[in-house]
Amino acid sequence: MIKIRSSRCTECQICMQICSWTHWNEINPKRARIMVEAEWPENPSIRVCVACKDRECVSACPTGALRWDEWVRMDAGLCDSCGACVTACPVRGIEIDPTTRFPLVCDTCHGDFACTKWCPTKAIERSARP
Amino acid sequence: MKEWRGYAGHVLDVDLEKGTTRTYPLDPSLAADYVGGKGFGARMLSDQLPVHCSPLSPENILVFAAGPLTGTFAPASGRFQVCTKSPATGLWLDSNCGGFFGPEMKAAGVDMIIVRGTATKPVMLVVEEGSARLVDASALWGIDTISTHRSIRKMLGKEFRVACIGPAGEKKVAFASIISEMRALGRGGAGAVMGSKGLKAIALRGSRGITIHDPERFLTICREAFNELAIHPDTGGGRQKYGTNVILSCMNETGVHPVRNFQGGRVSGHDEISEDRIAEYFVRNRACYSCPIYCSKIARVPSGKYQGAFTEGPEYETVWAFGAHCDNPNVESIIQAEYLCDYYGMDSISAGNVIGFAMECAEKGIWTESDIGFPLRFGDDDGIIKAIHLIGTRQGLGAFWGEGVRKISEEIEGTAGFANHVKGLELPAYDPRLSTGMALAYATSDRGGCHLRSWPIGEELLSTRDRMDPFSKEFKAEFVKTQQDLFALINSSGLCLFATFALNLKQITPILHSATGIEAFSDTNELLRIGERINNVTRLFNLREGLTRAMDTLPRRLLTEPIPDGPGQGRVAQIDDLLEEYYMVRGWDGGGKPTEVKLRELGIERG
Repeated sequence: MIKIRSSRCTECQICMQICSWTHWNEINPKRARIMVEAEWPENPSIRVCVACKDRECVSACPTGALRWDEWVRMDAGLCDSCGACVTACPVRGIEIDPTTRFPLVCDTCHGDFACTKWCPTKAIERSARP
Repeated sequence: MKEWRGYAGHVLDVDLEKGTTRTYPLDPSLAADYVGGKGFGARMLSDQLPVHCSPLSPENILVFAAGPLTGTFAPASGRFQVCTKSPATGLWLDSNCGGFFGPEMKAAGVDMIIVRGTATKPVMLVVEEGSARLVDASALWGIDTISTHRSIRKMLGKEFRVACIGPAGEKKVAFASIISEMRALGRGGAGAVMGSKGLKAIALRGSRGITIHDPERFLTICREAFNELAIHPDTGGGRQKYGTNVILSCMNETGVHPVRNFQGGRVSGHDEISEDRIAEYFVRNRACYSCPIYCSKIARVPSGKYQGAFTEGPEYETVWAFGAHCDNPNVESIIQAEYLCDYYGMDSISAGNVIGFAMECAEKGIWTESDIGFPLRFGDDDGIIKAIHLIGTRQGLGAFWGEGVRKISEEIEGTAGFANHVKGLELPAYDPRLSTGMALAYATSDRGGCHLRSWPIGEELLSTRDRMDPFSKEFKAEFVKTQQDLFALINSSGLCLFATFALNLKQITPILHSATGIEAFSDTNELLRIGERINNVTRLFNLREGLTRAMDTLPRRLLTEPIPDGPGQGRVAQIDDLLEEYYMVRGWDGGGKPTEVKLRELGIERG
């Protein structure tokens, strides 16, 4: 999972760009699975799936499109883009993809954690699995 | 239709007079010849602005332009540019800004927004996913920039990015700025042009991605560039810690930090304002889009007279303008002053200049306390704050001061000798009497007294790697010319000038080429030639708007009054023979006009 230290975040959004790049081959922070949110001059907050034990997103999904297997996996054939998972997530770590309308959930780049390699201030770091 | 790489591929053209907007494809040859940003603006204004139009008339055009790297993960690539005819100089103006507005332009699907005409009532331009509309903004008119940002985001949604003007822009202060999240398109009065058009704000939102020509190469080169920035002592060290104030004590010790309206060259007892003193007020770091340098700081005053004052900064130039320039040692008042400049939406360099100039006028008895309404003496922080309010609201003498130093000195007899501006733009924080390079850079800058067309200070006083003698004239013409061309290119690409501290053009070239796939961008010399082309186009623009050789000069004080103290004691600025050499290096004739041969070489048609 990703360890977050929001106080180090400078809002540069490099994590979001690398995320969209890794998953979609385009630079588009709006399609990232990690979100930096800031309302100037307030401190920024980083929102991303923290791989919590409760997995409320999975249980909230009415169509059974989400399941947990090392990370949250989605079956696009079952998802009807209702957004129940977005509402259910206690850390607001899920967003709807503006292009596909499917939910975006961190998949740890299948264990590669690309965003953490680029963060210039180490506001996000890879941590051992719980 | 062309598949664009790096670019969004569209231009948004807005006519406020008719209330219409239209979108058309970006011209591929414009991109290949002028890159973006400043280059786009230079071509647009040269082609479309009526000659000798008044800057505040409906004929003037405002161009907002991003570059091909804006919004990509090239390091420090959050920049965009506004280009127009300046109300301060009556000449070319381009102003650059970081943050998130530029990247959002690309996400909304446009590389350039052209604004024409004047609206009959205040409006706001809303661009959402490539479609644009004009919205009534009467309710926002008269409101400061900070509240305007909040209101617009409350109205439209917090994912919108905003650039707006404040009361200073509405009241057409000659040095009014456009503010985007407390970052400014600061110099030269683009805010007044926006105000004259009745355009209160532009709000953008979009979710379009940017595709890259050669993804693998781009990723590798950007990673290397990030590493380069991280190991550089400025971009990976001092600037991260102190922001732009990193050079403050060094500038003061070397004697190029002008005090009391350029009466002296350094502050005595300079510990009163140093980068460490200012850093005490920083509460956190902030970065522009995709920038690992994070030179932005949020400063807050915890107690005392200015308790609660906060700003994003204060930047080096502001610290000088309201500090040394006004002989004011109070850091907390400088934080408040910068906040107020952002609040009203005006340029802090010019505002500080005007106030320092007014202080000298008061010192010389030209204005008395009862003329002004309060005491305005060098070193008096209360006076500075009151004067900012006066200018921002254009009340009392502030209405006159809002015209800038040149206008004031033209109307008040006996003040021209200490009016420090070039072509109508007030000078920034470097004394050209100590730096022959800076003297030439000021005199030949296309937008007037500006340190961001060329900044020889870096090589003359800061660098030990490629040091040049600050008093010598040798190679200065070549240096200034080449750096002006490089900076014009950088300002067109979407990168930040600060990236060039660590990255040279050889490292930037493959970033531009792999992002866009445009063949002309694969060669370092060709890119420099594009920079030179842009500078020649802005020169032609200035000449047709009335620029003469006699205007390529420095303020009288700096040419005639020797520095009284410090390392430059006894020196005055010299420009004449250096200017001659510069024209020659540029391929311009003795009157400063580009020759036919030069224009042909650069592929520019006269006009």
